[in-house]
Amino acid sequence: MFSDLVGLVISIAPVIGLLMWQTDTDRRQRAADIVRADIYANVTRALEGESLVAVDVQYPTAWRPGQVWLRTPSGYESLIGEASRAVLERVPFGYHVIIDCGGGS
Amino acid sequence: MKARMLVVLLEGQEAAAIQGITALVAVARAERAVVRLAYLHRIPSPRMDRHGRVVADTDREMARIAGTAVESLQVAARPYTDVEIETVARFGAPGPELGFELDAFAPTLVTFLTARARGPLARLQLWALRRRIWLRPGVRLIVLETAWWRPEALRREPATTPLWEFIRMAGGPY
Repeated sequence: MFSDLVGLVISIAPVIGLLMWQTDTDRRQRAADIVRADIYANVTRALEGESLVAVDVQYPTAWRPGQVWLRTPSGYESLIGEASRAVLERVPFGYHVIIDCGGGS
Repeated sequence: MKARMLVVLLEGQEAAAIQGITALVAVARAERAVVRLAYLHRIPSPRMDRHGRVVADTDREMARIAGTAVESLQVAARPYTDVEIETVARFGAPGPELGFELDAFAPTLVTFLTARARGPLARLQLWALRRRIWLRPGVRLIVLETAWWRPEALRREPATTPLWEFIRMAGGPY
């Protein structure tokens, strides 16, 4: 009886673990999406419309903080400058900003 | 009070710093920040000739490396007269030296160059350095990715006028 119970627990533990991990990942991703929406709206407002600045957010994990990626084509670094204040005032604690300026920065 | 931006340059990131200075200045200008480029280098060993005699001792090597680095960075920063940029070179282990710089300069923004380091040990070192920053309250961390190490950037053909430029000239949305 006891060995059957242990066998059952051992067999379903990976499934439960994966489900819990996936739930946690989804929750973090939702939080990151909210951060992204907030930052993107602020950037759009700061640049007075849609621009060539792309915003992407990766959720924080145990071994690295969250990442807010700002990307522009090469030669458009000034857009990053104009948007940086709008980004920095919206980046929550536990996130850092990564600026990727393509090949010509 | 003016914002303070500390740019951390490690050994081998000199080219990335020169390449990324446009973006750095753009951010500093927007933040109205004073910029300090801190070049961190391990203490160099004395230079020896082939007979084992010391040609240049550690002090002289440090002076040479600091002179070269500071002069290169100052030349790269010279066109941007509207932003206050100072350059320093520090010798020793990067972790403690970065700590000293953080205490001395009290930055509100800390910038690292190139998110990807070469080799697992270099990545671990970068991770440890950045961890010091993101655990510190009141300091924002920025990582500047430059493309000098990317194969596609090295292969890049001389650009014709990009589509973006035509849109911009036509009074595009930005």
